[in-house]
Amino acid sequence: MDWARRDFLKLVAAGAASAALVSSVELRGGKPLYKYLEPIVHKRAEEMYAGRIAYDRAVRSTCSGNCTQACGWNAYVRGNTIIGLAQAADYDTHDPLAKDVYNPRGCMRGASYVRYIHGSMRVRHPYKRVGKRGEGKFKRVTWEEALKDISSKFLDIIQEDGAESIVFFCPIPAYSYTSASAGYRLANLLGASGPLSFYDWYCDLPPGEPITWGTQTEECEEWDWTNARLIILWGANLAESRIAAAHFITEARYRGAKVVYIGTDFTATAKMADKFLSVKPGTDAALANAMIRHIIENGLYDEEFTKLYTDLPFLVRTDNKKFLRESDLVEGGSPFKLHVWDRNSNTYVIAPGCLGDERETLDLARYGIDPELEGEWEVTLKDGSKVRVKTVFTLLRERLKDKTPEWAEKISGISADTIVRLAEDIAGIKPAMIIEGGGTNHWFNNETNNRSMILLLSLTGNIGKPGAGFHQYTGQYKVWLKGLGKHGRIMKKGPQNTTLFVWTHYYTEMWRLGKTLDEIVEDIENGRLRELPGPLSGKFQEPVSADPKDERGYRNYLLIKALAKKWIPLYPKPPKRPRAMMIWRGNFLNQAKGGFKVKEWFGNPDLLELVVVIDFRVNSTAVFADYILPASTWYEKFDLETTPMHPYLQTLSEVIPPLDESKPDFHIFKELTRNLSEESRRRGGVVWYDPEYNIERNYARIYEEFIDAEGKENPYFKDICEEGCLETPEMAAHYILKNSSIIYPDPEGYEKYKHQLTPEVRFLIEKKLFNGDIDGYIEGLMELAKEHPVPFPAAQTLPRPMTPWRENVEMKIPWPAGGKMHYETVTLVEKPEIGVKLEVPKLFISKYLGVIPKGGKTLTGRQQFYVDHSYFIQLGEEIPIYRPPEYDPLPDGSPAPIKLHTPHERWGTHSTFRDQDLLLRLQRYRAVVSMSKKDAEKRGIKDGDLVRVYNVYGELVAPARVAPTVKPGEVWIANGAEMITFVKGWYNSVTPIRPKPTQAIVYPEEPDPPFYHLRFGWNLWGVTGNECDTSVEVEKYGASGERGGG
Amino acid sequence: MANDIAEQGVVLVVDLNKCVGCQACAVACKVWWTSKEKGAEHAWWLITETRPGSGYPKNWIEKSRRGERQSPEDYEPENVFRYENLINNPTGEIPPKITPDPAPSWGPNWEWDQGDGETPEDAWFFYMPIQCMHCEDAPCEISCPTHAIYRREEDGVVMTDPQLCMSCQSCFEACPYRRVFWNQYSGNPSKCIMCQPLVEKGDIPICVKACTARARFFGRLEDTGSSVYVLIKEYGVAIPLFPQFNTKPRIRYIPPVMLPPRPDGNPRYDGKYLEDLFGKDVWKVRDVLESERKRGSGSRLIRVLTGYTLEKNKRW
Repeated sequence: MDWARRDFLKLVAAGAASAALVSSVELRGGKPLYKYLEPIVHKRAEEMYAGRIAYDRAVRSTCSGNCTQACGWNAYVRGNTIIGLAQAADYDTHDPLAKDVYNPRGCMRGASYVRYIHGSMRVRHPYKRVGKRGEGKFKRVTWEEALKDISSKFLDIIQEDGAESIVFFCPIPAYSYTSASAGYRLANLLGASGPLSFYDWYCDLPPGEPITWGTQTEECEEWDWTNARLIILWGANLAESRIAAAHFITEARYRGAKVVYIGTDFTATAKMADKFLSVKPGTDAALANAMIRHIIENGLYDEEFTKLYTDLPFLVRTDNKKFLRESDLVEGGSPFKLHVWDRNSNTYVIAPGCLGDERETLDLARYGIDPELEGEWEVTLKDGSKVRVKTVFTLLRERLKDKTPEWAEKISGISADTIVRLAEDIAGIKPAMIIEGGGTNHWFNNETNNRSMILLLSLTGNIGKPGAGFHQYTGQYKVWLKGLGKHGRIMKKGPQNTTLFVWTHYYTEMWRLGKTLDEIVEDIENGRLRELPGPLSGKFQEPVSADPKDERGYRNYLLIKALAKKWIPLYPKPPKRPRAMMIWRGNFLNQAKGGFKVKEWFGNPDLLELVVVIDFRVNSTAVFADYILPASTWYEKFDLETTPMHPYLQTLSEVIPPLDESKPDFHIFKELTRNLSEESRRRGGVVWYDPEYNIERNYARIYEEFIDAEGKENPYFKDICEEGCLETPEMAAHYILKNSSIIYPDPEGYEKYKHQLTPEVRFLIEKKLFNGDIDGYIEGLMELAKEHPVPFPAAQTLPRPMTPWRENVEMKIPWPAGGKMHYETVTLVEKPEIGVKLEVPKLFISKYLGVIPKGGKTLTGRQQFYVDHSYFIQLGEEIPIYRPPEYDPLPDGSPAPIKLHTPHERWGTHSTFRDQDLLLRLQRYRAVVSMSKKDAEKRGIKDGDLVRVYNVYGELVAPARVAPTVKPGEVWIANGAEMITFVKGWYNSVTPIRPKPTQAIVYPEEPDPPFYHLRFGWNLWGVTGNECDTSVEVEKYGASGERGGG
Repeated sequence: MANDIAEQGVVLVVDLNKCVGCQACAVACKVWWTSKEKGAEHAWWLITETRPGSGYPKNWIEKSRRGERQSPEDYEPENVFRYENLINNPTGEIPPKITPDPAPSWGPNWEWDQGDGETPEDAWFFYMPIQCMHCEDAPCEISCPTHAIYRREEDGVVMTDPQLCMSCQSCFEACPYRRVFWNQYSGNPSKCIMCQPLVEKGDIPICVKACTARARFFGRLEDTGSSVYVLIKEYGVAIPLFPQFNTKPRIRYIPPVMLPPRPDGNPRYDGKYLEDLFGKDVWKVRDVLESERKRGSGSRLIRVLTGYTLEKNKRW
């Protein structure tokens, strides 16, 4: 810069002219001299600017933060520094259908990620704690030292207590498959507890979906929103939580679709709606109930659809509230065969397609059956007694009778007129869809919200059709690549439900009773045990009771009973307790509901003896760790990534080598496993008999198994590997892809839809796959995916955009997966001469993990809105009817008046980015409490004042952010706000763990069902960790005479 | 409307109905341009304001109207996050905190999502990304005594040249939109240069690429097939901010006229507020958008507003 100026002046001086002379001397053309020289000088400035953004190379990678958007980015590199990121916007490269659709994606969080790579919050070396837990005093150690220490401690625990006392936690494999599965694989080889679940713990699992559909979660791809004419965003603040998808909504609106936003606050999403309904917190099911009632009372429902695809015509006994079963009517009859009343023969008949029935179809006309939707009849049971039965629809109408729009208005604050008009829109505008979010799913009664919304759409025929449906997109929970379960060795025993794990061990601390679960249940039933050890003592101690009249105590009893019956697995089991936790790709402590108790555990090395955290930043959990191991960032490792929101296979790239001593998670686990084997050998061979798996574990051998030294699992790499065929992330990725049916085209669909594939993909399918070279196909596909997103060949050889339940509605097959059809396969490749035969599942839903009942059928074989499990009946939850939210007390015992919400607002992806300077600068530099004008005025609080938020569990202090957009009666703090950015405490200081027993069941309850409609599956079904019912009071900090803040 | 813009060169349109206030544009700009330059930390060349609100720099509209200079407190204060506390906590606090000390009481997006009103029933806000307008009649250029600020003939981009700058700060005071930031360390103005090195090669500015909401449109006015031509010339829905400044800005807005009504059916936005910012043409835009919405994809305007407009050579 300066030399250019010097140059210029020299030039002038050399001309022996002063600056004044230069400006006044006119040359030919009438312009002063400087006008000719200026462009030359300006060119230098422009070159300077160009130099600022110049780069050597651009490499594509994928943002990997579990925001569910999975956006592709180009990283621009100078030397080994990523100087900037820009959206790759290349989704149409291998997707000729989606030309104008998915680009560009990306958001400000992804754009700011360079700070994590090169900024000062990056962890570059292994650290060992030297101060107290949580004090933030660490010293640098070598990898060797750290891994040796950890291995030693692990083996000590195994030799003393068994491997079950070591617990592994790592959420959401889909945003970087091999980074997760490497750790899961080690957990399995150790026999450790876990992996812990996350989809249910984070309250992202909508329990209403497994209950209604027998599936984890199903949703359309974002592109299908374009086909809807009515879009209801219910508790879904998409403009903040799904930024890359927000344009689908604004554009749908421009094309004339109607968009309705139902939420508490006026948000960026409310701004983009035609209509904004500001509900009182936790009252959404009342709205849904009133709308269902209006639709039923006014005959606005689709009778055909309802008769065929729901359990609304099924017969229920009015004496015991259970479905009428064949076992009620006939000696030796099946308890899994249920009934409808056939209009044609005027009697009850077994419903085709239900769980115990052989006929795998919902096509009732084939059997001459036309079920009555409404009615009441008398039937004679096998013992001769008579009982009255009603259809589910009749019971629904009865239960909803008083749930009028006026009733809902009083509860929700939405006018009766608006409620009626919305109901008529749902019934009248087709297709209609509901996109639900955490705003309605993070509640204790979340399943009631989900179920009633699905019922609204089902009654109006808005399921299984383009532009229709019920969709929730919380997190990249969906394991499209089934092969993950194989590499990570996710087996039946080991994985567990984190909500009840934390509740049992850290929260209620049941191990302190010194008894087994069976003994504890017995003590409750005998009245010997009336209270649990934790979390609180004195008058707030948690009650337990076998008496249904003690609502809270009974609830706790049902949960413990479910654990004792092993309906929900638990490792280790009381009186044992966890001793060590391995945490990676997640922020366990910060995100833990019941944080006030969990923090005690993490803060006390006598309770939780070893905490190891693997991360690229020191998050609030890492501050409490004994060892922090430095992980590669998302641009420093290879991996696979998928999301439920679109059907693309993408990869992460090692754009630059891992900084300093950081390593990809895969390699960290590989080295740890190697250390464990070596340490075992040093100890003369450590062996442990694992009672859960009934095998003897020899830890000296786990390294060979980890890397597939014998080449049994992944033989393709036998000739080129160094030590084993699963020794690198690429080899593991190959293995995962190969074992994932979503990667293979649908054989019938290929002929019909191959024009939807690009030539490169078709080449691989026709020249490699169809010739029996499956590994060559996988390798080729992975190479393509490294450059640009590749749509799953199975999805691309079917109609796009993808929307769920089409097969069920079009082929009239049972929910969720057509019963036995769930296991039917078609031959894709058959080359006997080289010994290759590849079969793929017939149904799309069977190509990925998600179906819960192995038999592919719910109990009724349909979308099920009536659940007759004893827990549901005892708690009055058979039909989804609104209940008011739960509340928490203040220290004086009075009910806390304000609801604390923790929405997933825009500035972070859970806790990722909430410690990052660049984004904090675009907020208020630290965690804040957002509150309404009314509530603030009442309490003498002004914008910016420090406030104390508290209830009986604890307190937090942070500055207030006062806004008219916030609903009175509610305050909110961003989910994931890091403990290290508060003044005191943090949002989980005041959140209890509030498990609901209806989510801890197996169903059906009768012994020996052919299959289960509901049963624990890792992230498929389990107790959710809700938090929206949390109730607090807010006061100005310093109001209670404490030291005022500044 | 025809006289308030240059006839040639680049223009940039922002649809305030599609903007979701994510700041992807502002972050991309900051990462690429102003995060490695000492003295430019507070210079958010592009920032998305929540309006009604004080904006950034603080109260710039009021101060600009009064002819009052911005003061240093109107900008982001120096702030350093104390990450070293996490490994080497100087106090005994459990856990340590990273918040800058002292904690700032103002920042570039301090008033995000606050807006105006009393409760959610009447509360409202919209987002307004704002950057140098690259005016055809740029007061900054006119005020600069050394031609350190100049407009390029090729495309109309207004550049700053630190070599010729004599640090008089005339440009800083002259800009009515207050988009010239001052770098105290180098003694030079710091402002958006419309990613000139990219634009020169026929590429598009980083902020336009970065907009995930597909709310930013870029092109040259003389290109009658471009998206910006459709928005500005053909349908007239993209209008300038504060047209009364008469500077012929190249950045134009589709005003936020699609907010949901209040429960009683009345408009949620404050019409006078919108008129104050964008002039009475706001209502023409509202009417055009309403009628074109009914035609769906049959309308060229709707095709532009719903398409991916950054594809090279795309025609409408």
